[in-house]
Order: sequence, then C-alpha cells, then structure tokens
Amino acid sequence: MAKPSGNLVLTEAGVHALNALTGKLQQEIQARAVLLIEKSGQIITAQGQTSTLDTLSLAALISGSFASTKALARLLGEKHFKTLFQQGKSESIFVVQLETTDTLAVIFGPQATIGLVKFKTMQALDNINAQILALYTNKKPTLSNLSQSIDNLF
Amino acid sequence: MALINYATREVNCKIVYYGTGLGGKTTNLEFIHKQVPPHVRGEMVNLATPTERTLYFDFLSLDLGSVQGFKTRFALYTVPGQVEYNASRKLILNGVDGIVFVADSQQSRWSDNLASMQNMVDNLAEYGLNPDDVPWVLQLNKRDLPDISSLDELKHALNPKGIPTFPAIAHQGHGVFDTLKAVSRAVLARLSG
Repeated sequence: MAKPSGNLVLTEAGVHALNALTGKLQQEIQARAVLLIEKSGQIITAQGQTSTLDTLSLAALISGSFASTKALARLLGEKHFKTLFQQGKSESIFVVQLETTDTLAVIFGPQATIGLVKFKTMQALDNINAQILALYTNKKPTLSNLSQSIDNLF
Repeated sequence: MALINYATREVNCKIVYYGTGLGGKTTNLEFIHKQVPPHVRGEMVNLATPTERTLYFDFLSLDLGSVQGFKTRFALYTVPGQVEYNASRKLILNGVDGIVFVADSQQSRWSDNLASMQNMVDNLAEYGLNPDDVPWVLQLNKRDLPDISSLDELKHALNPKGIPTFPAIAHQGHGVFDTLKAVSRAVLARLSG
C-alpha cells in the first residue's frame, strides 16, 4: 500500500466508515476501547467505553509511547516495530501502526486474550488502512471566515 | 497539520512549548491548568524525572470554545529542554501546528537560548518544515530576575523577523495567557481560507 500524501481530512462519511470498522473490532473482542490516533497524538475516532476514559491524554501518551518505540527500532537498526503490547493485571493495550503512520490502539481487559486481540486487529487492519488512506487529500483543509471569529474565543 | 473533523465539528490543533531547559515551559502549562475552569481543560500529564525535570513531555488539552460552529480543541505539549533529550524533542514536533518558544531572559542563559532556537530549526527541518511554515510566537520569560538581558537584545538575537513577542513571569502568570492567545490566533488564522 502506498504512503499517504497530503492532509488527513475527516469527512462525515469517512468518520462514519471508520467508526463502523473500529466499532466492529471493539465488539468482536469486547475491548474496553478502540482508539484511532493521528500521528500528532490527536484522536481520530474512539469506540467503546470512552466516557470513562481520558481519551485525549491516552491518545497523547500512546502516540508518544509508540513514537519512542519507532525511534528505538531505528537505534537498533530495525526499520520499525509495527506493534507494541503493554500488559497489565486488569487492562492491557495493543497498538499497531497503520500504513499512514497513524496508530490503532486496542484497550482490553482479561476477558480477551492477546492472541485473539492480535488476530482480530490484524484482520481488521486492511479495511481500516484503506479507509483512512482515502481520507488523505492534497487539498489544504480550511474553514472560511475563521479569523473573524477567533477573538470571540478569548 | 490541524485535524478538522467534519463529523464531530471539531478542530484539533497541536501547540508545542519549546526552549532551553529550566526556561519555564512546564510552568506555563501549570499556570494555564491552574487558571482555566476544569470543564474546559483535561488533566495535566507530566512525564518528569524524580527531580521534576521534564523527561518526555507535559500535556494539557484545552477546549477554547466554538468558531464558525466548530469546537476548537488545543493540545498543549512541552518538550524536555535538556540538551541530551533531543530525540524526544524531535518526536514531539511531529504534526505541530504552532510553537511557543520560551526563552530564559537571564544573561547566563544567552547561549543556551540561541542553541535551543537552532535546535528547533534543525528538528523542524527533519519534518521538512522551517520556522516560516509554522505559526510561532516568542515568550521572554523570567523578567523578574536580576541580571537579565534587555528585551531589545533578546528580540534582536531570537526574533529578527519580528514575530509576536511577550515578556513574561510565568510563575506569576504574567504573559502566559497573552502568549497562548497569540499562538492560538496564529494557528487558527492559518486555517482560515
């Protein structure tokens, strides 16, 4: 699959499609949450028990943690580590890099095994990759007349 | 690049506080966290060493309200200022939308500021960016200390192009919100067609 060029623009249809794919994955493995995280650490979509999680901080930390792993791989002469698994007593996180270098993180409890999580996540990956790749565009996203309203923020 | 979500009508922007070690980057975020009401901010995340120096980054999310029907959400990050943590600084600049360069006004930190500025330029170049591509503002911090360089000297050395500059005493909050407003405006103005 080709590397994406341009900017990620989250259209309504695109987000619905990503929600459907990540929601299906979350249901299949009864994950606590499935987060799709843009490479800068911002949330693209979040499915599952998101109201009980600080998803913004989680996304920043998972993204930072995964970026460190990639830098670590380079130091060891590896091209990249494509996955990261953090195992806890009651919560674990499986993170995988997408073709776009964005990341997909699955947060799950003891009811799912890492084998199942890996298998189902990798199975879903092709469709998620294709969907997110389609949302990259060379057109710069803009919001018209924004500057007139900016002062209202402060 | 800012992430615009047309489904949830949100604009997500990443602002990075850059600058030399012990310059006051974390203090800026701590003051913002303390001052803004809890419903517009998340919890502050600190990844610090046992001596409270930033090890990887600090993180704070802020919802600044709506413009044109879009909720604006800012993710504020600091970088670790210590020279040896350059690999971390580089990673945090990934996807940056705006930068606050926090300079330490003390004369003894003059060369550290210049080195940090050069380091920022070098690290942006790793992402194919130069400082003209990214909205950024300059904060001249620690104006309350003795033996500080004059504002003119610092501006001349760190800001030859005349970007918005703010004197600050971050631990007292002076200049903290002026700086944040300026960089937020600059980032959103960049998005405006």
